[in-house]
Amino acid sequence: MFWGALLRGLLCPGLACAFLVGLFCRGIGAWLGAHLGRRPAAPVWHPLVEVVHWASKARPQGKQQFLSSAAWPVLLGLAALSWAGGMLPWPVLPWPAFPSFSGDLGVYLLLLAVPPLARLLTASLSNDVLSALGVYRYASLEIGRLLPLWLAVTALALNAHGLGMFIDPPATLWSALVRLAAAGIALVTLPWPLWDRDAHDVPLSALGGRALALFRTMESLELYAHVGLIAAMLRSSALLPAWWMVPLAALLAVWLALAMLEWRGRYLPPVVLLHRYTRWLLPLALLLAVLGWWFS
Amino acid sequence: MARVAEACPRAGGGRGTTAPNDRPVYKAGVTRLGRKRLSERRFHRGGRIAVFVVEGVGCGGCAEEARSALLSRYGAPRRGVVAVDSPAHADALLLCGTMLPPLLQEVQRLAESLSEPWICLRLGDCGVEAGAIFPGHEVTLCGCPPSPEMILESLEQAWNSRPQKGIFGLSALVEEEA
Repeated sequence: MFWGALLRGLLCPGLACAFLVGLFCRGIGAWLGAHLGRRPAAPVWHPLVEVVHWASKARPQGKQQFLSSAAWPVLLGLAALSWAGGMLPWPVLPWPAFPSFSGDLGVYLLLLAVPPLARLLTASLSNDVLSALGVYRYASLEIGRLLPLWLAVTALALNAHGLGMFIDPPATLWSALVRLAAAGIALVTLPWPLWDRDAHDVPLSALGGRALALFRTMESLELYAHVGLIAAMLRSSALLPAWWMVPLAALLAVWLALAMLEWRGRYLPPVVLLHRYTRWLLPLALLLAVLGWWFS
Repeated sequence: MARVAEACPRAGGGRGTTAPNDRPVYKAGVTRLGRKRLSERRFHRGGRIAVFVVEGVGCGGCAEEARSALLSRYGAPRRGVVAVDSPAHADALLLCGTMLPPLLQEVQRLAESLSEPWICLRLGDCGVEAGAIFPGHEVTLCGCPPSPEMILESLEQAWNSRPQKGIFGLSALVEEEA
């Protein structure tokens, strides 16, 4: 048992696996979206090459940005996401004994809120006018995205009478459908806008080189943690017959959602995106929370 | 670094199919012989060149051609050449027109936020006459204004022949062309 666990840890260490899963999720989503939109498609390993590209660059000559105040929010975000990743079954994916959803939903959601906070802090601390202006637009977008996600998790918690991620199977079909709908809302609130969006990049406009590579790594870990949350929600609905279908279904769903967002939402201005989050998704998530309490 | 203007092929200089207006056609990444263009291999390996355009004083022709060069009409996305909004995210600066002293100070301040390695491509005859601003990084491209095809070709040549290929050299391995 010990040697098996050691072998699993060596061959598929949690953080590296998380990093690669997140990066390749982005790559596959962008690749599918580009093909759907008949645009030139970068290969699926493009995000990984991008991170290597930025990591291989030196620090800008005129600035000591990464070693100063802008460093600690990034490191805080990376630490939080590594912690979140450790709670999920993904690190033992190739040879799992059983999926272990240890961890608390509340803690997990707070950890998922750390990366946007890290971006906001870094942009504020970078002494860059463009970053400081971009923070306002980015902050509203992130709050608009996170509120429906929190409400969906609330619906799940109300339905299951608890905050643990290892949730008992639902008592009725309606209850299962509510949990599945919560997974759907979590899917729509994926950490998007992606790599090339103005609203996403403007808060980071003062960062380049290795600091930017660290941020891209943090984004990939954030996506990884989000996939894990969707897997936990899918598993709680108990609509999939075998446990090994859960991570696979979560991955496929995330690829498709990213592809659709990349294909149809690529040219959406942030204001329109914010309206979609707040005018449509937020009331829907509120209704879901009421239904989750009703069918509990 | 050597001037690349002489090495640049003229527009529609024989590579790939040509349109009636003597401009190369970028269609589905395939030439008349059915092979991918050499310059597109960078993109298919996952690499890219991020470009930040600075418009100087002058008629504005160079800036217009530089922005045109970054459109898909000339195959920039397919070659992995993209425009970015921040100099910190850029691999290459495109300086268009004349840089007068007040603007020159701002450009030098802006270049401090670029991470090594980076290149600077100066466009247009009026900008070239003033002399080099960034001697180790700069490549000039003559023309009034130079065509988008020449800008793209020069940009790729300058990027491939940049003096420093990164700290680890890994990104250069990915992007290096055959």
